[in-house]
Amino acid sequence: MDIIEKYTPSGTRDLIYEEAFAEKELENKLYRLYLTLGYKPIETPVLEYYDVFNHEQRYIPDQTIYKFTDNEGKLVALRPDNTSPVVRVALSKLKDEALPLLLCYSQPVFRNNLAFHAKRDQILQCGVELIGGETPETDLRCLFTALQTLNASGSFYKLELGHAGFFDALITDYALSENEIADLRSFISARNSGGYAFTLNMTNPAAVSLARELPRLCGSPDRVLPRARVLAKGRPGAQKILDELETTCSMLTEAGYGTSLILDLGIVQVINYYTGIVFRGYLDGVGEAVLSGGRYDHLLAGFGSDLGACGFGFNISEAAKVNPRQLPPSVPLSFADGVNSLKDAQRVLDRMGKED
Amino acid sequence: MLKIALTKGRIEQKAVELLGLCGYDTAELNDKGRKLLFTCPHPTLDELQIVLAKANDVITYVEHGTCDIGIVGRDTIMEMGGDFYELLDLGFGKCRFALAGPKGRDFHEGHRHKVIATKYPNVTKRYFAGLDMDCEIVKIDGSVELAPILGLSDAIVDIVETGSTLRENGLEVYTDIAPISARCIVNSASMKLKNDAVRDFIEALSKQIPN
Repeated sequence: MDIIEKYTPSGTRDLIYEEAFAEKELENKLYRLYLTLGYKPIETPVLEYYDVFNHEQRYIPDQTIYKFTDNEGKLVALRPDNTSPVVRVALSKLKDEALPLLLCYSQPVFRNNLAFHAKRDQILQCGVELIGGETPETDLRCLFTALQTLNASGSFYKLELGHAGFFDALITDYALSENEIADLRSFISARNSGGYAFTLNMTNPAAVSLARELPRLCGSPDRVLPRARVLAKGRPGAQKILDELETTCSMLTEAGYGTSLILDLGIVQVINYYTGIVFRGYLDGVGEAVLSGGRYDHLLAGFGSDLGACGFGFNISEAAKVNPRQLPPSVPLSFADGVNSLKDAQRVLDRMGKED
Repeated sequence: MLKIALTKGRIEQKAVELLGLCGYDTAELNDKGRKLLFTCPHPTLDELQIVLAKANDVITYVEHGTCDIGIVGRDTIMEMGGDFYELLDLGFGKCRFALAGPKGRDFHEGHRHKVIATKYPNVTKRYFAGLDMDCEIVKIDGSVELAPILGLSDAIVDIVETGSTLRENGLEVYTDIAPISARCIVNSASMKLKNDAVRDFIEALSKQIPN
């Protein structure tokens, strides 16, 4: 007989003792937090039809989705993300509920990553989705929840804020062709994703200076906003976005989160996924964003709904890693004395139950 | 403190000069011995901790956030990709990606399936995809120029500085693909968590770079 493999597939891992505890503790803490903040929990299956993720706003690279066929030959996927399944439920089973829907979840997502990059194929992700609410109020609620989530993880953190519409609002009068806009978009976003763009073959001087200036609009709001105002001059759409961001920042600052905020107006998306505010959260000790979210109205349109939505996902697996936890002390119980042991153990547990 | 990964070799030399011009004390880097980790203090800015690494590893360290900043050639960035900010063209280490092959031959002639030898399979794949051409790519680790000479490939995609290696081996550049120079890259989380320190560092560097 062949020896059974004793190790796990690339990208997966066993969590043993403290690591398992740290993840579960953080998960429980956040779950409680979301319930306290008025979100209702939902769970969806690990397996979904692939089409749930194969919509126009395909925000997950196709090659990273684990897919196979079910017994009817239909393509199914290990869920690579929680937002699409949650939206699916909201627009079907919850379609008659009062709006806005405030939903929270905590369940693993799966990505088929390249080997030898120390990337995890299974990540425990929690988050919230707010579906069908008024824009400024819902966005503010979502941002507050994101800040609370980062805060709960116990490390130094920053929340970065941007707006998916800022770039489009700036280029309205540049007279660029669709191809040129696509080039400019990928050139600017390549600043954030490592050199896929070759060179910018563009003669429009305004576009060239935008490509230079936009990625530099990253820093504390009081530093970035005045410079962004210069770019937005004479463009009411862009000014309106800056007004909104400024209001949001000043409200969050007044509530005591000022030092945790960073504005990044250089966020330009190549895939047309987010439609309004976009944000990402960073924790000291983790080299990538642990929280990522924003307003994503197009996704719901893809499911045939005209409701707006915003939400975020939070990577519990990475966040728990930077905050190791000791296991709590256990109560020593002996089972050597037969039925008396059982009674003793029951008494100990009853006493602990009363103390809680 | 900022942690910087520096590509060993030619880029390292120029980068250390540049850091010196910015006012960093690079004494430890000028007298390396067998050490791999160096400290560069500065009279007013945060001190730097510098690691020397191979180009590919610079990207790996920066992408995982074990180093905040990396100094690495654009050739490696284009080949490896990854999630980070590419903030500054440092202006040195200039060369280019080019398609080259035996002198006097018309590369695009005929419909025969072409074989390309390269150290940069991803760059090559993207370049030919852009031309709507599919070709066989063979990964070579050493002197790529050997492949067309020995008849393994029709052409090579490689970095070319002066072109003298090509000439001495009877090869020539068919097409330039992309310009290359040393770049300064920043981990996406460090960009937010250490925003002030990163900005100060980038500003100090850019003041010393001629346009």
